[in-house]
Amino acid sequence: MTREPVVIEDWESRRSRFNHDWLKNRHLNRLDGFLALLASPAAAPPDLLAGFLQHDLVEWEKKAGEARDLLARFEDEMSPRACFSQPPLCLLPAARREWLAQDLHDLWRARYPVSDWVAAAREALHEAEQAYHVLENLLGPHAGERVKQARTLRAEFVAFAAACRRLGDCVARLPHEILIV
Amino acid sequence: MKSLPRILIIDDVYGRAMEAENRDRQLFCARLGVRDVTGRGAAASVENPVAEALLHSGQMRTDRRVENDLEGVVECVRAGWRHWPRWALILIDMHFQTGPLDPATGEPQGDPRDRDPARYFGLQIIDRLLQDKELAGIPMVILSSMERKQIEQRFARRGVFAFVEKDQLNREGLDVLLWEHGFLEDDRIVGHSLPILAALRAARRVSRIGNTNMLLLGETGTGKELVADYIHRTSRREGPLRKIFVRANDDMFAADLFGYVKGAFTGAMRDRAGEAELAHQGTLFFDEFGNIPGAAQDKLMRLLDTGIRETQRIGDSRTRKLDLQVVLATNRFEILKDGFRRDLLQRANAGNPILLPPLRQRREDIPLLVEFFVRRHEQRLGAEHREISTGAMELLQAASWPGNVRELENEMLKAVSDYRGIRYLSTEHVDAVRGREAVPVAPVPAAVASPRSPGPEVEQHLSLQGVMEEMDQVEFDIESRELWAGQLMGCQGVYARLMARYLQAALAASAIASGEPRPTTAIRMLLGRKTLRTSDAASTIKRLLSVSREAIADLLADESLHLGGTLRWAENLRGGAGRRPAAGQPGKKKG
Repeated sequence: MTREPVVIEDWESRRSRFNHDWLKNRHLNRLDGFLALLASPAAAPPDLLAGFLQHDLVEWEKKAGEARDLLARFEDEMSPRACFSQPPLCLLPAARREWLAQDLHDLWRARYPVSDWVAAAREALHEAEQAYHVLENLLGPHAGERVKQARTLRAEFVAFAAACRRLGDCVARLPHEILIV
Repeated sequence: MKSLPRILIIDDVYGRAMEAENRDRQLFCARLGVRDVTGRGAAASVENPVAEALLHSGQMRTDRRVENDLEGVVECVRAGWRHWPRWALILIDMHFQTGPLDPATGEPQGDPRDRDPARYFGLQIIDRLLQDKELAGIPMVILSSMERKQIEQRFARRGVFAFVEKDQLNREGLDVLLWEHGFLEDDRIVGHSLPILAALRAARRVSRIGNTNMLLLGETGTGKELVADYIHRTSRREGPLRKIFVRANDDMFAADLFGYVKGAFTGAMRDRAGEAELAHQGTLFFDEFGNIPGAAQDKLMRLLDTGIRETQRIGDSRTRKLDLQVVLATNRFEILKDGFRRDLLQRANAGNPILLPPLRQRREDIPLLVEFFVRRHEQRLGAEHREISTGAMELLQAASWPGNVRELENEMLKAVSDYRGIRYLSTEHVDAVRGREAVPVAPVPAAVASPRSPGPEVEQHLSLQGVMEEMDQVEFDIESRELWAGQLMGCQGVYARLMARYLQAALAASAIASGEPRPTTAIRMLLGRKTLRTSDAASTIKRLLSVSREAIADLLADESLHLGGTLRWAENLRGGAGRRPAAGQPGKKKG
């Protein structure tokens, strides 16, 4: 039997890295700061705006993948079934371990609205991705044009920020520990 | 001139040094509407900033690692707290990422312990700041995107006012935080010492409630009217601010306050609205509330009852419902103890008065006030513009100013009007304040130190009565509850024990001649009086032993000290002066 890593901590720490370290601490801060600068054009240095559009905004593409992966792995890693891959439950005979793990997983899904939690987070992610693509299409590929274009897209940036904030809330609502059934 | 409030933000990401471009910090400042004054590489300008901010990472960085730096944080906080401009508010992050630097990103890779709520560095900072007496009272707000629930109990303590989700905070939110919790200057009230800023904050907080009553307690000349004006301005109420000055034995007080109808009394030639009615939807300010005549106190009840808030003109059967914010001010601290209806005091919110500091508690403001008054009177009198010498300023700062700011202003008016043509204000021009240097704390009365023979020193020092009055004032001169951070109870406890020990010593002394303690003799010795009525002795005993019963519970329980018995004697005396205490208790004979 191969010993698996401690996946429970891994999911939680990956969630923290995504949601706390990046989404809330960086991404939303940058988006809100950018929006504040758009609202007061006189104080907005073009370099800062350009830097945000070229380096910060596009980080979303990579991070959206992380979010998808995080949500996809939630059930596997945060279900009580995950406890059967670690001592002491992993020492149970395989036949017994399989049915017991599956039963606990089913109970967990029945007792908690797991599917609803994940579905809500996926929907929020989908909205954010759509809002991002709308923005990217309107901003265009040319670095020089993007700042100028961005100044006309305040509503689209607001929509993207709101969707990202919803995603952050949905991800934060997912349990921080394996819930007992 | 009011300056922008200065805030400190302790955050590992936004506080990172700016040698390299830190867009996170620049955008954070733009988002909050704050001007970055951290120094090197400061961020873009912000239109109409809400505050100026200094950002501190709370960490030490070497070539390879990043570590948290608690002492560095404390030093930074202390440096910005001792002198003006001082922190109006501190925002503290919770999770600080440490560990080896990631060569690709140049950022710390993180340590699993960083994410442990029990070990959040932000909480360590708060704990450390709360332990430091000098830093007690700094308004702190947690700014974090970590799970609030896990640390709720730990931060729910004095000194931490709020937990704000990092992604939720914006310019408006910061403005509200500053307004509610920050130490903010005012345009019209000169001064930025902590006691005055704490009083202004207390005033702002109450003014937001709306239809309420508040009591301003402050010695004469501490600016009660100015603060009432401040309360009205910050309340943003639609109606006017009306002021009513209560003079002792004022027959017209009720007529002025409630108004009257034609013919209600001799001289009432026409209907007239009272000040209470005129202040509808605004603020009604009673100055010298302590002078309200006893008969008028009854009539005031329905006006001060926020659930009723009614007024009735004299001679009129109709009542009028009012929407009022009522500010009551007095310099008579003793009204809280006696001389006033208790239910009226409760309605006046006397349990939570706003305490205006005397000038001796805000010496830091004296240079500002001197400058302000000198310029004002120079302009008013067409006098020469003058420099103020260091010596003169030192003399003014050292004076005791029993008349507080009003007295200082009068002194400055005299200095300008008497010497209009000079361009240099020296010690000679303010020589009248020489000799008024602040008096030291009164020593222990000699009568207590040596009850058998009080000696001549009693005459040179404050009497026990004076000590009690001084201590009463100390109790009310507390800058603010937050600033004292729970030390008030401790101080009262110490005072209570001191008073109890004085009484114990005096009782022991009174027993020397007669073989048993005699309360009236003991109090007579303590007060340095030749004669004393038994009822006065009883009321002094109750006063001495009622500061904090909890703090002296053990002394009261110890019958060998005779304090419990003496207190019972004093409390039972109401039924008849000289009534004998129970057998075995002190004071069996008349003192």
